Amino acid sequence: MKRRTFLKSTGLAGTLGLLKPGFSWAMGNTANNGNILVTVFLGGGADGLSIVAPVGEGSYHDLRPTLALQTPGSGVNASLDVDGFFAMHPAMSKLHQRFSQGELAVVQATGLTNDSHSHFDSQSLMERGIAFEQNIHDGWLNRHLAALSGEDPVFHAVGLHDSLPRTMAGDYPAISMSSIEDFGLDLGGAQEQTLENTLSALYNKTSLLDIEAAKAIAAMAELRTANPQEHEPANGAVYPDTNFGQRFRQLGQLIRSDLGLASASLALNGWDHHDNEAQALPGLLRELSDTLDAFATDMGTDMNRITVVTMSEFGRRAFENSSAGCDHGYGSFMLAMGGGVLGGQVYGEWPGLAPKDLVFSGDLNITTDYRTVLAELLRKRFEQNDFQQVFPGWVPSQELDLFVS
Amino acid sequence: MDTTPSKGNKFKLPEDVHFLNRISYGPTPETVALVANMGWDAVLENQLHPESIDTSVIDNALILEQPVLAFSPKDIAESNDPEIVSKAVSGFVGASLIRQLYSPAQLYERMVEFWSDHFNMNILDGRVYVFKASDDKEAIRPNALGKFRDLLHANARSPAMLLYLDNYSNTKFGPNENYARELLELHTLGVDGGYTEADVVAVARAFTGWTIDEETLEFTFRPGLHDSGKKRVLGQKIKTVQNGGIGDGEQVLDLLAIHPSTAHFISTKLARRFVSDNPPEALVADMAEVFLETDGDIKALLHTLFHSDEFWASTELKMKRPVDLMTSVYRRLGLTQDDNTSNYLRYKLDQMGQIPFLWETPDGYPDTAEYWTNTAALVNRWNVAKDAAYFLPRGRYLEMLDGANTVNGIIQAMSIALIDRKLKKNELRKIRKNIYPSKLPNKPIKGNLIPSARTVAIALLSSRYFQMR
Repeated sequence: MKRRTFLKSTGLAGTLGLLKPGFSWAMGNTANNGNILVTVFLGGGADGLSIVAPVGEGSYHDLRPTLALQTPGSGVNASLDVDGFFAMHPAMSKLHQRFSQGELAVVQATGLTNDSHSHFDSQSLMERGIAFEQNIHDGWLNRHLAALSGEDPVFHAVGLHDSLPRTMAGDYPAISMSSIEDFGLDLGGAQEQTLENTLSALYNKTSLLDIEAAKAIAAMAELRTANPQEHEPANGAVYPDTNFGQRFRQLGQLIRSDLGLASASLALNGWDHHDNEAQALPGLLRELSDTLDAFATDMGTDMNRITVVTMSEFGRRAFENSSAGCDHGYGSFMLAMGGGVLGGQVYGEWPGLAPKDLVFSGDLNITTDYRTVLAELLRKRFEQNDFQQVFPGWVPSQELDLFVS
Repeated sequence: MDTTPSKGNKFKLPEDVHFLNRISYGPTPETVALVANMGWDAVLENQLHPESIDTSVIDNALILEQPVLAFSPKDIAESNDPEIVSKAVSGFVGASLIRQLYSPAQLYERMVEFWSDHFNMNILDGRVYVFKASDDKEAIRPNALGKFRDLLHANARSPAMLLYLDNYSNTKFGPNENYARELLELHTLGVDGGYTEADVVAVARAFTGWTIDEETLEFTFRPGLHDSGKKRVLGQKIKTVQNGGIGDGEQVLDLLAIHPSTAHFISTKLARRFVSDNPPEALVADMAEVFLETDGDIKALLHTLFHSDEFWASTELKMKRPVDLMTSVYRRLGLTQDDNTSNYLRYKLDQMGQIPFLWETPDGYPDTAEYWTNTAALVNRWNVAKDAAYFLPRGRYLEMLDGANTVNGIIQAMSIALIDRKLKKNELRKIRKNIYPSKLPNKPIKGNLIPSARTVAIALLSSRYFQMR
């Protein structure tokens, strides 16, 4: 039963504001095995062909005379060999090393099987876990959590984000926070308690605003007790001093605080490279690579239960445009790192870049629906079996055998 | 997701305040009195004609304070000042906020904000900062209450937009579709407006050669870069005219500016901004009809909107966006711009994620409660309420209390001063029980009244009644 329906049918909605730290959100039988899912959305349409590039394919160099990555071993700017055919962008040296150590896997020619080419449509569909417009408004990760939800702690699902990511939005109560530091009223003592109680009493209805207010009050109290900021990064991990890097650092602190975190969503935006891609891409890729690497270092052996997966709303056109960038495309890539990942391999059937292999206006095709990757991950690591609930209208296809349970 | 506030226990909000919540950046004692005296419809007519409103005080003050506002793109680009980028950006963003806070032409500023969102560009993307202030001055402001067609043409030629959506480099030798796609999807027809991928390609070809002159930094059309081949857009043939090909793009703009999908899309967005997140279809249909009848006359659209029953039935259905929240706090409490409050304003808008002109993608800052309502946002909003209550000097509390010294009296006086109404019993009791647990409701209380009045102020400013508009 969905939580909102539950609250309405029992008339319990009015007591929402009375929730105190430690109280659970939902009813039912939990299936929480201690594993943690971290999703990273690369907003803007990340160019998979410049990130894990098919340098072994002749057409690639023809389509991208100025942008193609240089073949491995060809000098200072050479790409980093992955499997003799694909090679990683040189800015990803740290993730390349994780790949070589078998901790990171790549899926190529994957993505959302919808050719809208619109950022907003594509991202919205992807976050809702559907490929075509349906009357579905919540996120796939929210439905995954709702299907399993048990006696979950307040911090079970956290979006470290400016707003709550659509992926996590819906009836299952997820917390959004842009930073730990700012998540409190900072009044101290009795006045803070008085104010929280007053707000609980005033926000006691069932609208979105009331529900978010009740969550915020419970979460503030929980954080006061847990004090996650006392945890310094471990094992010498150094996170980039960027918004994204620092949010991953704080994710590490939340995990270390034993608040019961099981899912987190983050985003790194800015991949819409219509022009001068070669100037813009390295910085972003380094930020992504160094952040994920620092997180894995920080988490140490806990990475055995944490799985990070990345996705982007679409890839970019197979050929470069006249502004040394690439227009909106179709097939893209995903990365998976950490617990259960059979790393060191590139997964997915490669459709090729010859003219006959391209689709729409000259785009890389998709051979693996992004949900195939997510469903395998949810099934093997998070005890999910109800894929009609998580990805409505989608028929699961052959798994890639990219994860072990 | 259900984003409408619950019914029941609803306070009666005076119509005047509802009107001011929507056409302005928050009611002030002065504007409440003005609407009471003139009537809302007269105020609306006046606000729809900003040319008759004297804004010289604020215009002159801004130029004195921010000389960079008088700079042309060339002045900015050629400046030797090592801090020119931050001066150009913060000068322009600051001026926009100051106008929202203090300009008497409030509806005009709301429409400037609306179109700035509609034709969004990120001022920190590449060299957009060089051009954005002149885009505001020359494309948005002169047309904000004019005809949509003029606004669309001005935007298509605006160097800031040519740069932001890459059309400056869109040539027959290498088309760049970025502008063409967003022109159809975001500026005119809407994503379901009935265009195809082939239309995107044709529109991109129509705009080849529309670029920025490297010398003057102004719009220029370069026939040599234009693809003069045949084009069909939305099933219509683009006529070849003898002006080197600039007519292709102009015909596309004209076609889009009066298209029924555009009429519907613009009407929906206006109704979403001024009425509710999911605006009633009947209102949108009425507005779309007016759009088509008047050739996209923005004044006529707003006139229809504000005279509709749907508008008057939409009291407090809109969640304040961070800019709305901050400006309404400042206006309600009469906070002025000194260094502290000005830095505070920027700091909070940054924290809440809505510094004007910094939204990265071309769709503009979201306009629905769903995006702005989440735990992090609420904690930030409650902190704003707290800070505002502590900014207020003792004298202002005494003014607001107006002699009240009982628990109920204090709460109601603060409520009238901050959220424009007397609380109903039920909510009055909730505040009383939590903030004055051991006091009788109607007996004068002794000692310093301010600390508890401050807690009441934080609660009221944190409540839905101040978070919604």
